[in-house]
Amino acid sequence: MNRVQPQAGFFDNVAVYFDEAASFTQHPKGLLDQIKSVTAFIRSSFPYAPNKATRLYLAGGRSTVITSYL
Amino acid sequence: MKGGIRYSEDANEDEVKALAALMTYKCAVMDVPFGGAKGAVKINPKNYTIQELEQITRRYTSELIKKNFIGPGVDVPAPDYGTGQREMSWIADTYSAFHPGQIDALACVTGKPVSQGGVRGRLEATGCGVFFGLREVCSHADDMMQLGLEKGLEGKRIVVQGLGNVGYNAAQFCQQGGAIIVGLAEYEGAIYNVNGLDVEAVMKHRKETGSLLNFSGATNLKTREDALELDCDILIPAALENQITDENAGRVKAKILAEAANGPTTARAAEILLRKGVLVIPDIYLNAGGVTVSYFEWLKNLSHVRFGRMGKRFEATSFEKLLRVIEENTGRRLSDSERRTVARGADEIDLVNSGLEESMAVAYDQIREVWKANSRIPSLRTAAFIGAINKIATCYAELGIFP
Repeated sequence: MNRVQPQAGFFDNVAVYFDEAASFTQHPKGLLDQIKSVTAFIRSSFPYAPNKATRLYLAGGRSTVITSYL
Repeated sequence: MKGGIRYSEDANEDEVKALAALMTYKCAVMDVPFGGAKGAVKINPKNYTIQELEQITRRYTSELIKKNFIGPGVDVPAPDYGTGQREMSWIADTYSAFHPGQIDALACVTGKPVSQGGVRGRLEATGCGVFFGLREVCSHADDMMQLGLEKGLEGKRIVVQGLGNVGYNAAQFCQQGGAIIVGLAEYEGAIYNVNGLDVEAVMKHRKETGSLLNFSGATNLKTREDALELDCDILIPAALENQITDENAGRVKAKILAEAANGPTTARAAEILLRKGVLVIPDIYLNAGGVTVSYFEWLKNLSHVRFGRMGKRFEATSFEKLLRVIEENTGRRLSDSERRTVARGADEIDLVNSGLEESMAVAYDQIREVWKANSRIPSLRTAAFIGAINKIATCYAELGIFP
């Protein structure tokens, strides 16, 4: 229970699962860090015009992790 | 990379990163050759007209194109919470417009309607995968015995939280597979009937009245969260993440928690469930039917031919010849019904469902093998992550270093 903070975010939860599983493997820490890392995240605020007089900005994003081929 | 695009006012960076990470491990568990990804637009789609949603989707797609975050060999989005086939069509069309003449352009996104290059069976794939996965888990008599349950999915009492595409199809397939759906929950509340609910009839009632509450013969529950604490054998959270927390995990009565949603159980709740002896079937395995069939759709788009088109007639003719030999040697003439059952080639839907069933069965065998090989491995989730890490690590190790 102590491994997980009460206010842990979703990504922290996933990290807990990963770290627990990683402890059962023999892979070097560097390789595990490489697997665990988020490769890229774009944060975008883009315009949207519901009509000719109005221009709104919406928040969007996309995250990518890694490429694994099996 | 592969992962859904969700439209949700509650979307945030932490959630998107977590879901992208889960997609990576999910793909590895299922031997689907993609890394993970996830995207989101912070809107409530119910507040927009169809025309406005099309404008937003096309604009968001252009942002992805500009930043090279979409393409058949780059990143292939799919539907998620708040999006569906319609949005995927708009994405494919926008991408194609920006890439005239690119023959593989349709493979830039999956979950499209069949008329736009989609694959048959994709819409119900995640729910169907949940059913195949549950059937695999319940097929091991020794595991079931430890939970005090009989082998097999037949007769198991199931509660489903969330009646969207995943929850509805999971409930339908499980019911058809012999399980008893005793509870259903949506945002307006939940209903319960110990003798079972007819999923199709409940959906019809909800369409007519705008709510699943007050369904004939069922007991109303105040909130959908109440359904999580119902007496049942299998609880299927099929809504959003963080539904089972350290606050309510102690009150979960189910013997099996089947994670049809992504991340429905917090890590603290998972520890409580583990101590209670609840078998948690992790999301990175159980809801992987969607990405698996998305992979099939991507393959279809790259090969530019419907699955089964080349071989169906040949297979049917071969079976027909074989049947004639059997009839001649046995002296028994098959009925037309028997002949139609045996002497047929596979359609696209047959091949997709067969491929999904095989993928779910093989993946569970791999996870269970890891789990049973070391008594210190506490859960199926840890076993699934170990398998995923090992596969990715092997891939990296054998890749070498360049430049």
